[in-house]
Formats: sequence, C-alpha cells, structure tokens
Amino acid sequence: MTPQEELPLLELFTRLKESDIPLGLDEYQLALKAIQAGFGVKDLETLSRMCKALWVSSQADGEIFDYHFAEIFRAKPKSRHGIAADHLKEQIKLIQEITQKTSRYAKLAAIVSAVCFTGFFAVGWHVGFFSEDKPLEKDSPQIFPPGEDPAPVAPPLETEATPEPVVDAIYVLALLVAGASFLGIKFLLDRKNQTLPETDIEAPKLTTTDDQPFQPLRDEVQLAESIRHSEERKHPSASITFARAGDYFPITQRQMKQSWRYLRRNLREGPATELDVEATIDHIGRQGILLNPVMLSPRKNRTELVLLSDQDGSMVPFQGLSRRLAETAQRSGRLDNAGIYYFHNCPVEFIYQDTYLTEGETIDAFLQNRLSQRSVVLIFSDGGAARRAFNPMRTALTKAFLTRLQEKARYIVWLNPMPQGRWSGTTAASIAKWVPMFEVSRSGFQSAIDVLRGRHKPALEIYR
Amino acid sequence: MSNLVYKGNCQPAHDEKDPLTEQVIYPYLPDAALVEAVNLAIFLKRPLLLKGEPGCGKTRLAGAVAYELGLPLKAWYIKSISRARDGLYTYDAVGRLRDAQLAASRAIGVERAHHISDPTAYVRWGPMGEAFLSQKRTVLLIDEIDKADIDFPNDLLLELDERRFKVEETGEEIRATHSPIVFITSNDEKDLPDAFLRRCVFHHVEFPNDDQLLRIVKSRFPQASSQILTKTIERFLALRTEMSQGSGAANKKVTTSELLDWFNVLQNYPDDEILSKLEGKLPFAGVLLKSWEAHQRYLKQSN
Repeated sequence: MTPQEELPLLELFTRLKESDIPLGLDEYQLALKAIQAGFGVKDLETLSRMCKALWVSSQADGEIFDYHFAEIFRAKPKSRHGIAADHLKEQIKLIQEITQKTSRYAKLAAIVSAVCFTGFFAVGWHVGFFSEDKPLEKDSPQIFPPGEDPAPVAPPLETEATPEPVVDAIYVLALLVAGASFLGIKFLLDRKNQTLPETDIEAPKLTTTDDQPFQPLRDEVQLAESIRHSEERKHPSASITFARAGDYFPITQRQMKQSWRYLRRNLREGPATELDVEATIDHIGRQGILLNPVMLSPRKNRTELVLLSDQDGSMVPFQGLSRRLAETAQRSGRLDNAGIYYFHNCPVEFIYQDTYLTEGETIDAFLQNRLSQRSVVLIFSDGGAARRAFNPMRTALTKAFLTRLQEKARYIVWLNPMPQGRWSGTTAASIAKWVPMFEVSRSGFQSAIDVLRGRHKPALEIYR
Repeated sequence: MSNLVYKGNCQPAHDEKDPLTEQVIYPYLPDAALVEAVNLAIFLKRPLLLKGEPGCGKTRLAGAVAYELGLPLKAWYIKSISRARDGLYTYDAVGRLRDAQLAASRAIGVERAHHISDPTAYVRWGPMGEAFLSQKRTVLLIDEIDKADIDFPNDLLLELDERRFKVEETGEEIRATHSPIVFITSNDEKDLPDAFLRRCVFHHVEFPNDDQLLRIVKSRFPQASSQILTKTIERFLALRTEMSQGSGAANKKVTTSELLDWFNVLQNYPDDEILSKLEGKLPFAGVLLKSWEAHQRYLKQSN
C-alpha cells in the first residue's frame, strides 16, 4: 500500500502551498521517499515532525503547518490504517443523514405535484387545454419549505415537463413522478454540496478554541481561509457567518520580502579588498613589472530607505500592515540602514521616531540630517481615503511637505492601504497627482519598489 | 553509505580530548525530535538547517554527530564579509603574478618556475571544498549563515544540491566523492531566501525541559552532588521564567550554555557555600545577566 492512499498528505501539501509556503513537487516526493524508508511512521507525532522538517522552514510557518495538520488529522484514530477508513465512514454517515432528510422532501414533492397535476389534467381534459408549463411554475415553489431556493431547479423541469399533446393520463403521471424525483435528487445533491463545505469551514473555529497556542492573525492562514471561503460563497446558503476581527493583509509577508529584495543600488565603496586581476595585468603590461596589485572596493547596497508611516486615527486598522512593512524592510532586504519614522495624518512640524509619536524632531532637522542624495522615501498613509474625505488644508500641507522632500530625496513613492477605487474625491486623489501613489497589493507594492529604483514606467502613470 | 544512523547516545568519556585539536569533547544530549531530524537529513542527503535561541547547542550538534559516527568535521564559520566561493576555494592570483615576475627576472629557480605554469598549484581549498574532496564522508558545519550577505545562501544552491563545483581559474570540476552531512545554523538575524530554505531540512532546536537540563548538567559535571544540581537548576529556571515575562532589552533569556558556565563558577566553592549563595542574591550575576536593564530588574527582584 502506498502512503498516498493511506494519508491525506497531498491535501496537507496543497493546503500548505495555498498558504504561500514555498514548496515544490520535489519536497512532496521527498516526504514520500522518507516515509517509504520508515521515517515518521510510528505515530502522528513523528509524522508531523517529519513533514514539518521537510516542508517548513520557520517557526511562523510551523504554526501554519500545525494548524492544517491538526485540522486534517483532527479526531483521527492513532493507527495509520484507520485514518482513511474513518474519514470515509464519516463521509458516508453524513451522506446517509442527508439522504434521510431529503427523501422526505422528495416524497412530499412527488405527492403534491402528482395531486396538482392530476387535478389540472382532469380540468384540462374537459376544457381541451394541455399546457402544463404554467401550473408547474405556480406549484413548484410550494413544494419546498420556505427559505429554500428552487430557482436553479425549475428550468430543467420546464423543458422536461412540456409533453406533446398525447392524451394519455398514465404517461403524464409517469412524467410527473420522474420530474418530482428529479427535483428530489437535485435537491439532495445541492444539500450535499452545501453541507460538506460547511463542516470544513467550521473546523478552524474548533481548532482555534483548542488549548494549543495558535495565533489566528497570521496572514498566510487568513489568506488561505479567504481563498477557501470565497469558494464557498458560490453556494449562498453555505456562507455562514464567519466574522474575523483580524488585521488587513492584502499582501503576504513573503511577497513583501521578495519585493524588498529588488530595492538595491550596488556601488563599490569602502576599503579596497577585492583584487582586480584585469587591471593588474594591464598595469604590468604598461610598466613591465608588478609593483602593486590593483584592488577594488566590494560592491554594497547603497540604497538608504526612509519609511514614513502614518499612525493613529484612520490608520489604526493598518497598524499591523505598517509594522510588517517596517519589519520586512529591516530584516529581509539589503537595507541595513533603513530609517523608520512616524507621523499623524501629515507631517506638519514634527516627525517621530516611535509609533506613540513622542520622540519627535522638527521637519527641518529631519530633512537636514536624515536624508542624503541616496535616500529613497516611501510614505505609507491612506491620505484621507479611509474616511472618504477631502480636506483642502491637508492637501496643501502634504503638498508643501512633499515639495520640500523632493528637493532632498532621490525618489519618493506613496503606498496607500486603501484600494485604488476608494481614492477618488478624497485627499488621496489630489496627492496622487504629486507623487506616484499605489495601493497595497502585490503589483502595487512591486510598482512602488520600481519607482524607488528609478524605474517608474510611464505606462503605470494611470495612477496619477 | 547512506545507512549511517545517529542515535545520540554515544557520549565521550569524561575529559576525553579530540586528538587533533587537543580540546575537551563534551557530551551532547539531543532530544528525540532532533535525532529524527538528523537522520532524516542524512538519509535524504539534504542540509539540516538549525534555528533556535542562541546558546541552545546548534553549533555543538555537528561535533556530536561527527564524534558518534566517527567522521571528520569541517567547520566553516561565516563572517559578514564571507563570500560563497571562500568556502569552496580561494585562488592566490597575486601569488602567481608575483612568482611569474620573479621567474621572469630569474630570481627563482627552475623548479619554482615550473610550478607557475601549473595553475592548480595556487588553489587553496575552503572547508566545503575539503569536505567534497575528502575520501571519507565528512560532517560539514556552516555556522551562522545569516551573518553573511543576503545573497550568500543562494550562491550555494548548486553546491548543496548537486555537490559539485567548478574552479573557474583552472576549469577543474570537483565532485564530492561522498556527499557530506551538512549542518547549517542560523540565529535568525536575517531571513534566508526561499530557494535556499526549500532545499533544507529544518529543525527548531527547543530549549531543554527540566529533566533534560538536569541530565545535561549532570553529564558535564558528573561529580556534582544532586542537591546542588537541583537547587542550581531551580534557581536558573526561575530566572528564565521571570525573563520570559519581561520585555525590552532585558528579555534576552538565559540559555543552556550560560547555565553551564554559571555552574562551572559555582563548582569552585564548597557545597554548603553554594547552597547559601543560591538562597540569597543571584551569585555571579555577570555570567547570566548581559544587559544593564537585566541587572537592574532581576537583581533588585531577587533581594
């Protein structure tokens, strides 16, 4: 028996991939190879450890792994052989329950429609009127209990229930029974489709209330959830209430990190430590003897990022995003001397070094001391778009600040946590005329980095 | 060759010394999960990436595995200026130029001049290059990989994946005769690139629990009395718990290696004196508390 038949490993793997953990098919095969060699087969604990070692490479990802692992292997017996069988049993039981429930509806539907149609048919027999479309349309809603939507079911029945004017009562009756059972089956299938995902969605609630220390605010999980959740939306009755009081992360940490890596300007600087062989040989050629080897300074990233982040007020919902922006810039880019400063609404007089806006310095001092010719500035603010307000005062102040900033900084870009569709008519829209402004999304962030690299493509200026 | 299995129970005798470096080999007590991860990495021939608190034994694992399996250990300690090629080889181009100059002016003999026409004579192998060339399977430690440039790990992908590299200056291709067992440690100061992470087996080294801690100290100081041991570890764990609740610069938690140092200092005193010291103000606080805030906070509290 191969491992994939026994264990829902592929499901786990797919889910991890959906959660933005970098995995390739190689990693999956590696896990299978390890299992075949006898690793991680003792119990679920060792299996979890084994998969984790192969598929996960940080503690944060480890939490995501634990969450999905627990969800997939939840309430499963300890033995490996029982796992698949038990899963199957659960499914069968669920289907049986639904069948029992829906068969009642099906019977009811059959009886009601049969009675109605025979009545109509009898009347129609006398009057010589054989159209069965209208009564069916009138009757079919009554077949269902209130609250259920019969719309997708009615059309196929219409076509099926339009018979040739054959004067045979038995034939029509048979047709009616067929139609009713079709209704019943269709209903059953719908119910099944809707009910199964529901149990899937409920699972995270169960696991999060467990005693294990899981943090539901991780964006990767949230992202994966939202993908799965949006799939369920196709079935309106399945979209059960699932309010999530989490932060807003339109871009994952990993995507952010990847984009920061592009922000670099390599210049040779510092003590000369690398040997320039070509120049040295050239030197010998000219002088006829090796006097000194020619040395070069190593290349270093000379981009100085200054991150200006709006705090408080309408930016409160985006604090997580702001923190992450700062964190990823410092940790994963080649931006060793990234400066992070804060302001509220618009830098008017002071700019602060802490999120609580207490350690301030004047804008004059900031422009003088913190910026150099190498500095690129990224401003993170909603520009009034979150409150949908246009504030002429704020516009003027922002413009004044940006004008001063432009004199000092090499490139400036504005990241707006509000989606672009919400900018029109707000202060943000007027600011966007002065600096390139992008929404926080994968492509928006990438474009912002491009601006900071001096590669702002005019084609992207639709944002202006 | 791939049926090497690390068990984690082969410990050196007390005061046993490494015949090459003359340094004392200390026992290493891994937990079951770590042993599993090591064996997984050996079996799959993938590097094992170790993360965890500083001082919890990430670096020491490589030595312990090499000792138990009886394999040579090559260590490559990464610095902020390390380049990927340094671990493979360095080419002494300046030396060759110098020799060529000297030969042209007939300042060196014919044999040395012969030497110059052989480009391979100026290649110096780095730890990884040596591990690849070794006739015996080698344990290779790449220590603190996060200290180097952010692109450093990406430059090692081919070498770690296919265990071969090319000496650009001579065109010589080196293939590993026996794929080394690679351990990579990271203190998580920088994030490593995804492409690199994908190729590693990852293990987070956890801080040992009470029992493991007791066993670790006991194996290191077999002559210590059990009363002293339990008292010291109690006091140490109390401090650690307190620290984990704190925040800011003072919350660098005390680790296993600091405990061993601390115990080593305490050992210099008679038992009853140690006990009385442990009762009072934290003795030899400098071994455990590494910041001024920590000194202020935890010394005050322990009065």
